[in-house]
Amino acid sequence: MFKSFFRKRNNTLTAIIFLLPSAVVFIVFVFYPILKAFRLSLFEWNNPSKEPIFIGLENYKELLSDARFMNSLKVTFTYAFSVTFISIILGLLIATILNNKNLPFKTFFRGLFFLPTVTPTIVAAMVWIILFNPTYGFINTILRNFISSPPNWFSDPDWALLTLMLLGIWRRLGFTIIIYLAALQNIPSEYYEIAQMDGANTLQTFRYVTIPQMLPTTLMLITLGLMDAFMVFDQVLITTRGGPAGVTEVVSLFLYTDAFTLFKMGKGSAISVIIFVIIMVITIIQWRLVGFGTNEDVA
Amino acid sequence: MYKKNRFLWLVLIIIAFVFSACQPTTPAEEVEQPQSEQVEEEVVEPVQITFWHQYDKANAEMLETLVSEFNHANPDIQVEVVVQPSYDEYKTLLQTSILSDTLPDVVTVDLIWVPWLVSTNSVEPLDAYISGDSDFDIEDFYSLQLEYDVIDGNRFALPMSANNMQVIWNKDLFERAGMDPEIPPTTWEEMQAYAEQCQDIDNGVIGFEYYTQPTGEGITWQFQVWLWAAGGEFLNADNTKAAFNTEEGLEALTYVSDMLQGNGSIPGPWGAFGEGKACMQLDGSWLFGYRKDAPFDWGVALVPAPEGGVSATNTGGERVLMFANSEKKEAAWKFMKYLTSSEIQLKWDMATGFMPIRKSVGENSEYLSWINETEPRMLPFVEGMQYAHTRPATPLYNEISDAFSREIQNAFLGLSTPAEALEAAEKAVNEILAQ
Repeated sequence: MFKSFFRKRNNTLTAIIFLLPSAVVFIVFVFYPILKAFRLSLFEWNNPSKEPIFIGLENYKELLSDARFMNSLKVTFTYAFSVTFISIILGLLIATILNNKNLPFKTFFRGLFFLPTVTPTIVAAMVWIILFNPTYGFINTILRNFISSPPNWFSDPDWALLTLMLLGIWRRLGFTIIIYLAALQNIPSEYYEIAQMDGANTLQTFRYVTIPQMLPTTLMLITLGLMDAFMVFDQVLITTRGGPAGVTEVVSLFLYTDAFTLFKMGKGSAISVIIFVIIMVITIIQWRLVGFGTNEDVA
Repeated sequence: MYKKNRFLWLVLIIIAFVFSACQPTTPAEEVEQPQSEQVEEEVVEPVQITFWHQYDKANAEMLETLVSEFNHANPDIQVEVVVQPSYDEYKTLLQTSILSDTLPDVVTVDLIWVPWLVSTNSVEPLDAYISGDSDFDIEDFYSLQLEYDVIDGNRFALPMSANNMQVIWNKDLFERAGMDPEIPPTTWEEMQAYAEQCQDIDNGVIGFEYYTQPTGEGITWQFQVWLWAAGGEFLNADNTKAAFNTEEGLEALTYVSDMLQGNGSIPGPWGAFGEGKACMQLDGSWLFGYRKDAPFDWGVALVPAPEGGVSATNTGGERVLMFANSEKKEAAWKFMKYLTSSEIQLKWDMATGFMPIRKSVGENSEYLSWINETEPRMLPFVEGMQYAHTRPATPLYNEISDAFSREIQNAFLGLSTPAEALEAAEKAVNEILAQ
């Protein structure tokens, strides 16, 4: 009886059974919390021992008129776009240099650039706050030999976000370099030979051969980079905790502070729903542009 | 055939796995019942209680020693210590633990959290334990910070440590700046003059280290010292309105903000003093736990008073309490009683520099001779207790403090004038209080 049952539905059933464990995990830990957050965003819930109170769209209305929330969106977008694009441009340049067959110590340099990416965020951020400490930090101790008052880095409203972006780029660069290196090695050498025969110089080869060939990789790096940078959290929590004066308060930190430190779960859920929508819109636009996840991309 | 069997096994294993993961654990009663009957004949299992605290460095080590002494003296109870070193994350953890019903048995927390914790209905009232325990004398505790622990007539916590903040100065840096290393400032004017004289921007030395970031209770609780010294108040008497947007409040904020514009100080992350890069700062008496072996010479002085005013300080401390859902309340009470006993408190205070919470410690001859002979730098903290103010005991305090610090910080950083910052802070605080 079992035999005939399995024979008929073998493929479908096997697929279902193999997908079941991960599906269960996804439903319990991803989909259920998302739906729950949607529901909770319509409630006011400020005390863990009391029942949530239904308030409709009040949380959203409050958020959209909240200067702190708007600021956090602005900070997040500034951070995400700067870090993604700068790390992509630098990554392509450095990867092109590292791809040069005549470069000495190639493996050493590749390792060097990849190191920040594999360093845990906590460790990297801790090292940065010590290095960039305005009074006893290594960077300012060196800088004082050249300028009388070096920046306060993480503590100066004019510098804090820039310093944080620098940290983000530094950590992201290794990843873009590795991806670009792999992609560069896939460009057939004939393309370069033909370009050289046509009399193109190095810059022209880079512009007319390398860059067009890198387009699919670049689009993928933009997608991944933006999604990753949009959810930046741990390194901000450790370095500036959103300060000074809110200039580095990214939206995930805003959510964390209000939901988990001040226990405003309704408001926190509303923020997470807004982040969810924003990331979904970015992803859809990029899917349209890149066709990410389709067969063409895999090839 | 063989293949199919293997496939079937796989299915069964997966199903078994999923179901075993979904199985509820055996209810506690079923397990405990047979055990309690067998207790007489078998070895007694010690009662395990979990204890969270937020003390760090040498203070945490001392507490660890005291707990292991307790475990040693009470073989029937085993206290497991978990350190929660981050102030903000500790609060987050407590909140999520309330929701998920995973609270420990006993905790120490910042006293300012007690009203908020009590408002979550998760704290066990202690009145019955105190009245039922003939050898526990609640009258022996100082009453200064009583309002945090007694809410609506019930006592929810016991003092574990008390403190206040005074000025600590680096004598080596004073000397290097050509100043008398033994003379600390006594007025606001002097303090600023000393700070400007002592600061050495080229070498990264700041005159007076203010707590300017990150936002939160660190900023609020340090600024309140200057607010109170100027004669201001934080909230009104019944904690329903902000009371700091006054002439006194403006005087305090103007004073601090001016200094922070390079006139004796600059904004920065906390910690320059410990690195020998700040001449002065406000710090609490708990500093004896980690400053004893500093590579520089330091002294403690009363917080300077403004012209014609008096010194002021902020008194804080930690409380020990147990949670209502603990299943080992008797053991928990025994442990709380141990931690707050005169004998343990005496050891604790002399090792850490915390202020006595019990009269029998504060008036103890051993303690007094320790202060006068071994550690006279404790004296300003003892003397400062008479100028100590307490923060308002309201469950909304955390939110108020967070909002207040955000606005005040703008003045510290020179992004808004002190008057603007105070007005914005007043508006934000009143909005929270109007909830």
